[in-house]
Amino acid sequence: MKRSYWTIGVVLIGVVLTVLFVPGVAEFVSRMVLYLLARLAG
Amino acid sequence: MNILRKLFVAFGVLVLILVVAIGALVLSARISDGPLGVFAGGPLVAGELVTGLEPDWSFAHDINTIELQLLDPPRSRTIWVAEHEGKIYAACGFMASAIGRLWKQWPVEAERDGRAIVRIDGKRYERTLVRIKPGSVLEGVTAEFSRKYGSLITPAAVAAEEIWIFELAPSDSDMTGAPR
Repeated sequence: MKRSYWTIGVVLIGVVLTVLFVPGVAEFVSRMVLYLLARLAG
Repeated sequence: MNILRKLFVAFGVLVLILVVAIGALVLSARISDGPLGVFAGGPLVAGELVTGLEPDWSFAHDINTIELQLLDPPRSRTIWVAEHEGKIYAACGFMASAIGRLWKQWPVEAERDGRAIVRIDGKRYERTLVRIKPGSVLEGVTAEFSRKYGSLITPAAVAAEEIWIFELAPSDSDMTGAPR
């Protein structure tokens, strides 16, 4: 498999672990999504 | 052309990262005890279940948000709350737009079956959600929401169905989620 696919896979796993386990990241993403939804729905 | 392709791939990877991050949070919240910010959570399990006499809800003046779980479907979310004349109320905005309707399905579900549990300051209360339609009580309730959250919640917006307001009535009040 191409090396770039492995890189993307590792990055995505890192993203999942980061949003789930690094304090504050989930809240930040949540606020960002809330802002976007409010803008779109408003 | 090569640069354009690389830019396209980089943009695609960024979008993929965003989608994966949000997807992970949506799934994680669904199996959690309570919501995670804007993401709906699972049933409210932790916390003392308060029964007996109706509480003095005046303490809700100082509560910014509460967690609300419907019994059917058993999902929880974070909502605004306001107290007025000894009763508590929940508000839901963006109900007049298509995206708002997709985003906020709990008010429609609550109107079908208003049985709910709310968790406030770590304590759980069984309630029945009853939708409030324009009437005498609405002036005071909307004024309290506007005062508390600094947002424009008016009886006119409720009448236009842009904002839905529910009373969190006692669970034994033999009411449904249908409007009154």
